Amino acid sequence: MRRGWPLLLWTVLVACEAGRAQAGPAEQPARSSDRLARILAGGVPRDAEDLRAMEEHTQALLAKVLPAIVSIGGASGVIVEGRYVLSAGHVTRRPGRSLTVILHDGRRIRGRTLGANLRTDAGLLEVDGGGKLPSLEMGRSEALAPGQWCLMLGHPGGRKHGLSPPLRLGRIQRTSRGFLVSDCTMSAGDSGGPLLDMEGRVIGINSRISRSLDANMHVPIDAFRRDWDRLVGEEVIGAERTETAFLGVRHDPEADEALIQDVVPDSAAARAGLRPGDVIVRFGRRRVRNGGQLAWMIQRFEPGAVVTVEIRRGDRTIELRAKLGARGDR
Amino acid sequence: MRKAGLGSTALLGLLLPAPLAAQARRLSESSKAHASVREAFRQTVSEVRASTVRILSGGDQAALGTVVDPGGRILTKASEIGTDLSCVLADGRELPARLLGMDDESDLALLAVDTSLPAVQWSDRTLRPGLWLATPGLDELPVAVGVLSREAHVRPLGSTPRVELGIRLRRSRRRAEVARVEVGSPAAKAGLEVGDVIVWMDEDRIRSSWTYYRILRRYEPGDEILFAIDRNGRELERAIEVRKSEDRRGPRNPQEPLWGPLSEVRAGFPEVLQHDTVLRPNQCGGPLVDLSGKAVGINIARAGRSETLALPKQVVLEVIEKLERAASAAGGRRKRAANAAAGEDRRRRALAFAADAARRAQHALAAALERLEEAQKSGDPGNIADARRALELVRRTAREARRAMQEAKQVRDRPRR
Repeated sequence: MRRGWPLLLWTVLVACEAGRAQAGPAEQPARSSDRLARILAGGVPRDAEDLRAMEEHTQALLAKVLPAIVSIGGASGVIVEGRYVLSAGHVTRRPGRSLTVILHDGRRIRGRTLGANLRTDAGLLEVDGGGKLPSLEMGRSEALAPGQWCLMLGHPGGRKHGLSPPLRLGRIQRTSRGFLVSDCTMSAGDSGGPLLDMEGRVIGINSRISRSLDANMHVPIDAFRRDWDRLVGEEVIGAERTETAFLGVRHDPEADEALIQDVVPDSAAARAGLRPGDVIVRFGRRRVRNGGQLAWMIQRFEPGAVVTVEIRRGDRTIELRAKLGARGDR
Repeated sequence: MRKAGLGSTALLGLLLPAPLAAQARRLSESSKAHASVREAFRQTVSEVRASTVRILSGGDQAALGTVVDPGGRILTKASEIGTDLSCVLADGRELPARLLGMDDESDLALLAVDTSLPAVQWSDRTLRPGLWLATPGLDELPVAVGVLSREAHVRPLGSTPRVELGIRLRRSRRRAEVARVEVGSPAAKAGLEVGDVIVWMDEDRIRSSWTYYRILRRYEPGDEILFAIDRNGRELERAIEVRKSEDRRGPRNPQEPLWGPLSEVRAGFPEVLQHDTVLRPNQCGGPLVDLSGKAVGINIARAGRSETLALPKQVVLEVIEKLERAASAAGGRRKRAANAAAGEDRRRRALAFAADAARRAQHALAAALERLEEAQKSGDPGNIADARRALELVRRTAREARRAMQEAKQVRDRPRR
């Protein structure tokens, strides 16, 4: 069973932004810095004073980490060691791709994808910013405990002109099947953005979501550490992925039903006779309510399966049979 | 059993399935919204919860509300409330509420209840991301908490046009073909049909579905557009009055089904504060407070999986003033309406006349453009110059006719005294 949905944005948004000054290191004029540290490490604030200490700490930390957050196409990333960008494997995909990386100050630089681990969803890029770029430290994810507070940044919905990436504050929920799970709500476009501990160290990279709002899955930073040399060496790990069934239609996201907008030439859909404008009513005899549901239903079949597709074309209802392809076949 | 492989594009076949977790939000003890964390906000909301009400519509919770005036004035989210309104207060009382007015852009509604209530206090804090924000309900702990995600900003409707005709086009770079006509829409009334290809909108040649949307954006609600349409090779002309777009959902995303319930009206606000509090749509409309318990704004929309939007204080204050003014003017207006009815008929006739003139001018314009096109095809410089002059003349007439029509419309819509 696959877990969760990758967070790529479907359209690529680009923008530029005026420069932003880098603030100094976080200061903690709290009731006591020990008390604050204990809360951030997984404790619970007791009163407004505790909360105020957390707030001041978070605000100072945010100013410090923002310059290292980048936008890559419709997704996100974070700079480490001055010249690497950590992102998600489903963002970088394969080595040698040239991508535009937009820095926090709006500067656009070229990035080149290095290796990826498609099993853990770790992806790495190399950037040349003509000098050392603002970077964050890589933390450790092995010792993270449920309840520990964390920050999450990324560009949900794509980078917005003149706006910094929106902050999400949350707590570690658990580690599950190689993923780090937090309650920092992510959505499409956050892919590749960092999960940070309250010292500003990268502890995870945004990967995917599940239906529960508390199920936000991040690649643990240790997965990057473990594969580091292979990633830098442009290796693709876990590429022998199981094939995914592919119909070859793009639906109209604004429609209240599964309205086909495009049919991929030579795909299973094209061979079955599906056309733009058709509405898929049933798929494999089950009712289809909308395009999102259709996507999910296709995945329940293996490539090569022959599926009955009932469509509405104009005022006619037509039954077609589609032999599903595999992704990449087209 | 599959390994955790990863897909990466928007093509439907490539989206991955999610385990179907329960829709209800069960909070684990380690969640930031768990009661053990909200407990720390007890002091913060101790006073402001008396300025928060639960709005019932037909007996169910439709929204929260914010007391903005001790005289019993309450603001709430307009698009969430229906009829048969009442307010439940923190002390348990339930009072009937009257709707005094609504503001479209901010989606705020002003209600009145017959009792005096403590008004929210407004915060003067600088709004820096990372600020703790609590959403008080009627109880001793807030319904949810979160942090300010980014600086206040304008959230435009995105690609959604402000006006619409009630049609959907087939996406194409080569032609603007009607794919759907909404029943009862202006387009349906004008007789547009699926399969019609839009060729001209007033003076603009339409060559793709994108051009259509781009040109449409230039019009205001109430404007009339003259369409030249190709229906199976026959050219037709239809004048259609554009209406205000109802769609306030903003940019769409195919993963939305995974985002939990969102507000139907969630974009196109004047200015918003974005925070990461998880709210249900019927928990909008109430105050959003900082740690001192003072309001920085009013929650106005659950807008995405990772965002809730609030209208900042200054927007709210402006809307209150506007709605109060309109409410007090409404009483006097009813009396004057009767006197105005007589003049109304005359004005309507004037408008019809102006609209007809504008239509005729548009017609002439289309002809002149066609003549120019032909002249250009023939290549005769004399012909081209003539056609250009003729076109210029017709353009001017068309502009004047349109202006006359707009003026007639303004006269019609002007508040009567």
